[in-house]
Amino acid sequence: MSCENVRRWLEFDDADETDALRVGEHLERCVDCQAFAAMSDPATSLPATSLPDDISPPADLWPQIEAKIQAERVVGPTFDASKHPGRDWQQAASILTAVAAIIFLAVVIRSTVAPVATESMARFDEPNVESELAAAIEQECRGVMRELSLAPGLGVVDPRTVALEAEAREVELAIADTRLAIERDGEEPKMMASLARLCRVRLRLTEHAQELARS
Amino acid sequence: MKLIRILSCLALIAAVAVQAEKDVNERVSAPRDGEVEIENIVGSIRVEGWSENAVEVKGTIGENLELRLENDGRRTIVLVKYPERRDTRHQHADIVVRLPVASEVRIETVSADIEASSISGPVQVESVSGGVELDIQSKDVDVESISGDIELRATKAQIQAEAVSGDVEIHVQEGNIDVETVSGDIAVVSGKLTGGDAQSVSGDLDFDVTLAKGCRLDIESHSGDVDLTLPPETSAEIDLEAYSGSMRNRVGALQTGGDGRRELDLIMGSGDSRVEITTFSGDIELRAK
Repeated sequence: MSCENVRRWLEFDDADETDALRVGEHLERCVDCQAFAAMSDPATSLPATSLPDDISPPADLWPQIEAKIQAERVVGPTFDASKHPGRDWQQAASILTAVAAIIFLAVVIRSTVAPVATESMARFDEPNVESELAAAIEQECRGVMRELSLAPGLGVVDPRTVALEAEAREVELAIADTRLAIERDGEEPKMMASLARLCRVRLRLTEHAQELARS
Repeated sequence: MKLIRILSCLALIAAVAVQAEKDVNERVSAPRDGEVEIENIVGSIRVEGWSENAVEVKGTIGENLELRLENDGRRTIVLVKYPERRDTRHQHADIVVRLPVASEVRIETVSADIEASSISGPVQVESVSGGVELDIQSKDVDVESISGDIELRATKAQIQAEAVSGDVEIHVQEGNIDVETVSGDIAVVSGKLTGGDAQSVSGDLDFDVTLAKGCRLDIESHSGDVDLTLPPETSAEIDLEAYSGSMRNRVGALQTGGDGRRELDLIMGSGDSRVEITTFSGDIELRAK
C-alpha cells in the first residue's frame, strides 16, 4: 500500500476498514506515515497532563517508540517548537500516545493472521517480538486503568473508572471471540472490519479514562 | 452523652454546610444566532430557547461556587466555577439557561443532568455520568456520554450519539443517525430515516423505522440482539449476517441469497433502500409494523 493511500485511509473516517491490516503493516515500517498519523490522530490533541506519570513499561518498549519519535521530529511537519515553548513536550507526549495506539491496533490485527495465530489474548506471552510488543502495550493500557481508578492521595476507587474497566474487559472478550473466529474461518473481510472496530473501541475507552482523570 | 451531643452538633453544622446555597439571576445581551457555551460539573442544567436576544441564567449554586456569564460579541459563556480545593463533594449548581432559539449550543458537564428544549441551532453535548434529555428542533445534534443515558427527540436532524454504558434512545421524525455504544442499548424510532449507522458491542439495538427511498442503514453488534421493525410496504434490500446468533425474518421479505444459516439476503418491494445487519453472537429479528 502506498504512502498516499495510507494517508488517505487515515484521513477519512469512513475509509474501508478491511484495509486496516495493510495500513497497520505499512505504519509499522514507514516513519513518515507514523508522523502523519500521529499529527492527524485525535489523540494528538490530548494535553500532556492526561498521561499517567507512574506507568513503567517494559524496558524494550520505550527504546523502540522513542526511536520513532526521534525520527518523527526530524520530519516534523510545520510545528515550530521555538515559537511555542512548553508545547514541545506536549507534542511528544501526544505522539507517544498516538504511536502506542497505532502499534497496538496494528499488532492486534496482525496477530490474527500470523502463521502462529494465537488462541486468545493469553497467548501473547509466547516469545515472539510482535506478541511481546502487543502484550506490553496491552499491559500499559491496563496500567492506565489501574492508575486512574485510584483518586490521588485518597486511595478511593472512582466508580466511573471501575465501570470503564468492566466495559474494557467486555470489549477484550469480544476481540478474543472475533480473533478465534478469524483463526477458525480465515480472513473474512467483515470479520476483519469488526475486529478493527473493536480495537478502536478498546482504545477509545482508554482515552475516556484519561479524560476522566482530567475532569 | 457529651460525645453524642458534640457529634450531633457536628452533624448539624455539616448539614447546614451541605445545604448552603445562593440564588443566581443574571442576564447578558447575545446575538440571535450566536454561540453559547455552558459548563457545570455537578447538579443540573436546563436549557430553554426563547425569542429574546439575551442569555439569562437563574438557579441556585453552592455558596463556594461562582457563576460567570460573559458575552464577547458572538460568543456567550456560562460557566459555573468550582473552587480549586480538592473537596467539592457537596458543591453543586442547578441552573436554568434561557438563550436565543437559533443559538449554537455547547454543553459540557461531568455528572450534571442536562435537559434542553425549544432550540433550533446546532447542539453539542458532552457528559460523563449525567443523563441527557433533549427535545429540540435542531438540525445538527451531537451528544457524547460515558455512563449517562441519552434521550433525544428531534423533528428533522442529523444526529450523532455516542455512549459507553449509557442507553441511547432517539426519536426523530426525519433524519440521519450515527450512534454507537459499548454496552448501552440503542433504540431508534423514526418516521423517515434517510440514513443510519448504529454499532454496539454488547448493547441491544431496537429500530422501529420507516426507511426513506435510498436510505442506507448499517447496524452492527457483537453480542447485542438486533430488532428491526419495518412497515410491510418497505422497499429495501436487506442483508443479515450472524456468526453464531439466530436470524428471524418475520417481515415477509423474500430470500434472494445467503446460506440461511449465517447469511440471509432478503428483499422487500423493489429494493430501493439498503439495510445491512451484522452480529457475532447477537440474534437478529425482522418484524413488521
